[in-house]
Amino acid sequence: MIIYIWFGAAHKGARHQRKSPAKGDQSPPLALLFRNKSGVVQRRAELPQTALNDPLLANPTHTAAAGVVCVHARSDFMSLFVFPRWANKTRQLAGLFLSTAPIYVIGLVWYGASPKTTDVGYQPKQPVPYSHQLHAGQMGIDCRYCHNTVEKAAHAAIPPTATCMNCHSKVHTTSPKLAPIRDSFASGLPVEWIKVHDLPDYAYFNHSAHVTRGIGCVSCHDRIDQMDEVYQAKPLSMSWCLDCHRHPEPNLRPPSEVTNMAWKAPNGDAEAYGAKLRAENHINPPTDCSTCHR
Amino acid sequence: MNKKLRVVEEGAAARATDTAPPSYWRSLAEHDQTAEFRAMVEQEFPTALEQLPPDSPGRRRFMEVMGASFAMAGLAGCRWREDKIMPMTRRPDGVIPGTTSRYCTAMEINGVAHGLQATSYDGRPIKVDGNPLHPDSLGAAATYHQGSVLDVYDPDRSDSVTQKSGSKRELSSFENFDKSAKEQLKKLRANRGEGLRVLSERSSSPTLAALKERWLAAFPLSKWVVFEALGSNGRAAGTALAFGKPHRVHYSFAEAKVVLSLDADFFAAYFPSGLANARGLTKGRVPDHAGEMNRLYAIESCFTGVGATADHRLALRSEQIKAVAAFLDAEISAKASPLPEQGPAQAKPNAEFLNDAKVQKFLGAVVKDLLANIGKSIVIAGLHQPAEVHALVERINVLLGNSGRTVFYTEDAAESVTSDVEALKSLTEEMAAGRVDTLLVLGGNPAYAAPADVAFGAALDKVPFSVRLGVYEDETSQGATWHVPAAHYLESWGDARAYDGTVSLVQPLIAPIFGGRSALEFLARLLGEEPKGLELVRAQHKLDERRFRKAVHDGIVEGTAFERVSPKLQAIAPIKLSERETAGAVQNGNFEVRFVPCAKLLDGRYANNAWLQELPESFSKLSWDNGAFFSVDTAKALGITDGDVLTLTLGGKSVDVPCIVAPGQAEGSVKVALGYGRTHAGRIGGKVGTDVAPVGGNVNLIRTSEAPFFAGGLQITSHGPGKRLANTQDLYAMDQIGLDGIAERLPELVREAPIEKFKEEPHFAKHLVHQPHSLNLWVDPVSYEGHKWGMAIDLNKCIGCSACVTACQAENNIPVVGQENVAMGREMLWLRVDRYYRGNPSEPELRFQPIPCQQCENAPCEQVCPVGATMHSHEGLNDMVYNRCIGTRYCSNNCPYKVRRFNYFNYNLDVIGMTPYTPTDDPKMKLKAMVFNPEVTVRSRGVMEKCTFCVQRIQNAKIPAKNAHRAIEDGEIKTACQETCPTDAIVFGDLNDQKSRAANLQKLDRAYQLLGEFNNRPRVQYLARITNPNKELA
Repeated sequence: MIIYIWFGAAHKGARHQRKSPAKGDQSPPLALLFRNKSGVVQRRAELPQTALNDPLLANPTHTAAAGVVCVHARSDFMSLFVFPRWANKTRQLAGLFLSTAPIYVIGLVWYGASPKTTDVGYQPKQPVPYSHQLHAGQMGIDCRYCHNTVEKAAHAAIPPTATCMNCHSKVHTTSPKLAPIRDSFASGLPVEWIKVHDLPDYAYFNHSAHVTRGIGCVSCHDRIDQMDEVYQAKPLSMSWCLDCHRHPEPNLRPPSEVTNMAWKAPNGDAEAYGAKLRAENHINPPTDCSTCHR
Repeated sequence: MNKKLRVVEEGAAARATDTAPPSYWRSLAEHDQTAEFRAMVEQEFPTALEQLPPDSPGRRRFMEVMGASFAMAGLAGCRWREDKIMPMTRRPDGVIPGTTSRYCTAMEINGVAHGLQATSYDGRPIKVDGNPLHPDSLGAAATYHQGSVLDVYDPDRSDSVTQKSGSKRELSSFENFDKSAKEQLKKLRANRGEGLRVLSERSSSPTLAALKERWLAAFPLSKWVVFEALGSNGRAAGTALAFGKPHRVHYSFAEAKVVLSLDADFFAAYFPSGLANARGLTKGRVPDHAGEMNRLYAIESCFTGVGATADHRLALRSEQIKAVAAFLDAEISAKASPLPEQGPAQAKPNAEFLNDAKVQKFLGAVVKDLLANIGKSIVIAGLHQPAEVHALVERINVLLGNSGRTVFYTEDAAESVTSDVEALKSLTEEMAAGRVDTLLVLGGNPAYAAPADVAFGAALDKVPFSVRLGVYEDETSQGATWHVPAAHYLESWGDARAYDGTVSLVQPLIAPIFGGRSALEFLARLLGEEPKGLELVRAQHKLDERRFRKAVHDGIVEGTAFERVSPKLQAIAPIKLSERETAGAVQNGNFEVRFVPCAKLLDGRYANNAWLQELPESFSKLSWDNGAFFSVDTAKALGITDGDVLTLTLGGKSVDVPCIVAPGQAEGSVKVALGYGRTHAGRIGGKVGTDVAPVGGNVNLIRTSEAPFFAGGLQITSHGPGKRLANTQDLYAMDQIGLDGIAERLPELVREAPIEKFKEEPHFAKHLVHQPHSLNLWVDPVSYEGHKWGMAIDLNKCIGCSACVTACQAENNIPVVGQENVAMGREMLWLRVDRYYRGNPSEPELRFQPIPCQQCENAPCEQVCPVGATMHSHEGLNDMVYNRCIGTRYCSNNCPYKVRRFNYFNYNLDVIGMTPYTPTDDPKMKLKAMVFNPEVTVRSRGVMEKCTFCVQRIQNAKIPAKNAHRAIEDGEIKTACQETCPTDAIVFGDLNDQKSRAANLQKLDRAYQLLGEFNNRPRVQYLARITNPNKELA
């Protein structure tokens, strides 16, 4: 808005310029102020004719020698401060912009809050169609069998190829789907998994800090045990993080149950049970900026 | 503030009029209140942003450095990129991805190992700190060590074998070289190594020594020459004069009551045990709890950390030190009655300057003080001083009963008495005469670092088969038949000895990125031995598996220190003093020039290290350049001033460097730093043939082999003002009111008192400024339960070495901005070490004050941020949220400490051409991004940043502690500046923990808040400096 008002003001200045003397006239468009020898500021017209006739006045670097200090003497320099002719159109343009502003704002909010932006539902194609639904769900392998650093480190590390081969050197040894795993194990080159839950680089999330306090995997990753291919189910936005940091009760569970995807609070009241756990385990999630940003 | 309550020690009263010079001052311009200085302080930001067009020559160096990556920058702005996770195929036991681990290693400077701990993040070293178990480190590291990690990822490092072909160099391969070397050595084996020479740097590596032995056995007619640009044989030759055999000298500064430094910068990292010396000496300067303080006298030609710490300092030319030593011997021998076999005293020298009343008074007081502290004093001489001075100094130490109490001796190798320069000179003569047909140059850069009269570079062309093993393809490589890339110390296995002899193991943190070979592997391969560094080192030390693993883990092999001996003092022949050495004042044409190792670039080996180039030098606060340092009176007499271009002429050779007027410099003595003017350093330090001009002037061009450390007969010619120097000393000055404020407040910023006064009035520092009972405008936003982080900085211990500044840069991903931007006041270093002079400009004292963000509880910055980009945390940190910052710079405007830094450009992209977020397929560009600390956000253009108290270290200690349900121990979290500090001057901790060191230091009588009267409630407190002056010199 401020910009439009400013443009409006500028518009008047531009009009002024339109009335300025015709081409060829060397006198500058705006009233110039000069400082005479005794330091008094004078308009150009008030200067003695002798001073104006001094050829040195034409060159501002020499005006001091002529006994007059010139402020903004050259018209080409002055033009820096006068809006060009096309600026007269700004009022019309401003109207156009203003009329489209509501549409823009609606669009911005729509886009900003859309799952596309928050990446909810992001499900990239992985080099190996690994199914959590099969491994974690049907077979009930604990999350920590593969993501074994989750309680110790910031990252819940993606397992090394060797972990896959613990079983797959015996199971499905010829499956074409597992070819990248076998290749990786043989060559020593990593399997290039695509990151699904990708926080911005200025957010420093620490898995161990959450898991050891009793925040279940399911709180952020949803029912991974039911996903054939992993997708992002939660927005992972800052406000979403803060919702829980301000009010963690609904997401608290005994730390022994963090990997239990189907866990439910004993009497169905997650809120009350969470409050009890919060007091017991001294859970006090910080909401300082430096909690996540460094 | 209430002036009546202020304890006016000195200074403030002198500010009765506007023009009276302040008692503390940051620069001569400020002291003299020059027009330029006044004009500069009119502006908050020295140069408006608009005045720097993006295509100005000022930015040219960035462009050169960044090269093609500008094109990449456009792509970086696209939406969220797809990230990949690439797990290891087999993860070794105990390795957790995304965490850091530390490994001990060691780095050698000047033939002395310094034990280090390198931090590895996912297999790459990102930070280096001191090894607490190492006797020369005690956990501290210097600027060189901190900066060395950047060199690992320098894309200008040599990446392939090259071969000379006519006047050009052609790419070759290791295979070609190995084949060619094998043939050459076959010939040499036949003629028993005739015409074969090996030139190596000084090294204390036992494995290299063993290889050398085997080498000389295989080629009995060959010679092994050692040349280190900074290598001086003064101490070895001097102890040989005094004791009959060369000895190493070790000091126990913590036990000493009186210390006299004769031109010795014994805190410097290139001085043997320099960092341990600094720790020891400052340990003896703790006046709290009725502690006693040692007294330090310094006689030196230029300001050093020692001189800045000293209670009394006398500026004399380096060449006058010999007469001083003779005088001291005469005086002390007369009182201490030496035994007949210890020989007679030196005759009292008949030197003009010794008759000067000031010098006489100073030396008289020193002698009296030394004699009053028999067995509790130390006299120490600079390494550059000649053998006679060292001999006399050791004689004085023995006569004063210091030997075995504060000064200890171990035997040194017999060859340590040979002069490095002489050795290089005779080798060069042999080469020029065509008597050398095969030359191996292991490290070092003799073609650059040799004195002017040793034309090593030219002679190298005459050697038919020369091989240069070097980390960079530099000046020396240009003339060599073969250049072979060397491995960085963080890439290789090796060993070296601390000054006391303790074997320190060098452990690689990463495989050689460019396939380089270490000197050990290189020689072993030529000898046809197993060329694996680890095997060589393991075989050398013959430790069983358990002990070897422990040695690698600890970084040292226990019990390998040399045995201490008590050598017998011999008679020292009367020393001769030349006319120059006894002369008083000297005139232009006869000035003394002192060549000092650069505190940043050492002998030039770090010339391509942008962190070190940008670091403001401790005394001049100059970055990206060297200069000739003149005393105030000498400069006045010559009519020269800061930034004037001078030609220094010595013995018919000359070099151009800018003038720096350095208060405290000895009259008629000119200090110049080595290491600048490199012509083949790289895209930072300068490379001829490209448009990256060398940084600074190469003063090796006027050095001679007769006098490589200081020489007389210097002629100065001035050419008037040159370009503006990238000097940080007057930056962040304020307007006229602010200027008056500075002048008035300086005694209040750096508070100090002599120890007597401190004993009478222990709270003087707290009451120097009246702190009115202050009320807040609002209720405190947080209660500071839980942790309350704070810091105490002891001004009594800070020696101004600036290691903290580089450590902070390495830890916090602080960008380099380049020379022109520093000159405009845009340096980004979060931590600055303010340097104040005090007193008379002809004989000033010097004070250092490190200024990190003070983390005010009532922070002025937080109150003016319109977007909440700087917020108060519950632990009292002023959190900076980069992503919210819109760059109004209001916070910086409102910060009374001026610790906030603004990214005028995307400096990482503009200067090094790389951010961690810049997509690129260029492997060398990717390499640059590897040095970033992944625990700290890399900031972009338009964002304000500042010290965070290393919040990443706080978080990374808090989370595991909480996971384990335990409290954080005091000392568990160390900020980067604290960790590297050689003198333990910076202590960080939890102020709510009553047992923490920081809390207890802040409770000391001499603790005070900087500008606390503003009711900012800073979390950093300074401990006032307490001096221990000699009453006779008061």
